[in-house]
Amino acid sequence: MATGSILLSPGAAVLSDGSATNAAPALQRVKSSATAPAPYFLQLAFDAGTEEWCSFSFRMPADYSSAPVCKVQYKMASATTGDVIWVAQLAAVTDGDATDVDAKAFATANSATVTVPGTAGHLDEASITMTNADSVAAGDFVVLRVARDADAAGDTATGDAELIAVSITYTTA
Amino acid sequence: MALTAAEQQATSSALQRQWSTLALPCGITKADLLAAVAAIDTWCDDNQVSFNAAIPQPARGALSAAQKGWLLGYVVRKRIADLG
Repeated sequence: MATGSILLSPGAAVLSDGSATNAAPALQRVKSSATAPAPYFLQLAFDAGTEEWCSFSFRMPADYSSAPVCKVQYKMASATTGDVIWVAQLAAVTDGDATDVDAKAFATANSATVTVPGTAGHLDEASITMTNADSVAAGDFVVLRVARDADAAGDTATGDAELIAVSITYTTA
Repeated sequence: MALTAAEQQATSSALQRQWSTLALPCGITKADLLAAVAAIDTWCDDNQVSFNAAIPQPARGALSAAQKGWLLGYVVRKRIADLG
């Protein structure tokens, strides 16, 4: 057994449609302020007042066995204190399931509350243990929902939380 | 007229978006910021008389309350811009 990783770039995010309870984070191209050539990267800016979310879809690798953990790497645009609540939900469909993929629902949400770094722009990582993983198995079609639970009382940090990378780690077969 | 709770919340949210865009460090929580917005709103109510008295004539008598509000807002915004 080892640990496997699925790498999910902000550029691969599917943004929700902006209808009620479907607010989406802003996808932004960031240019480092360092001397050129400086890094460019994509980020998803999650609002502090409205719960915004996006999703990533992929095929679960053949070596997947168990224990999925969603790793969210983010930085804060301005906040230097307070907490952010990151939420992750899975929807998994297995080949041959009697499931209409077009009507598939997410499993119950998992979340992690993290204290933001003391300096805006510094990287932090939230680990969300996917206790509710929708019985995901190797080879499944998977949709991962990632949200900031901005309207929860426990999400206290001001301003945007800027997601810059997502991974799912798991125990291999 | 004092802001409603929803207007105070909207003001707090707008501030956070602006500070995010400008990457201005913010060392307080959302609740702290909302409390500050509410307190400043109350301060505006409590100091209307002295603010009005500070405006010289003929502006004091000729401008409407809304125009005086705009005047205050523009002066404050200009001072902030000058700091930047």
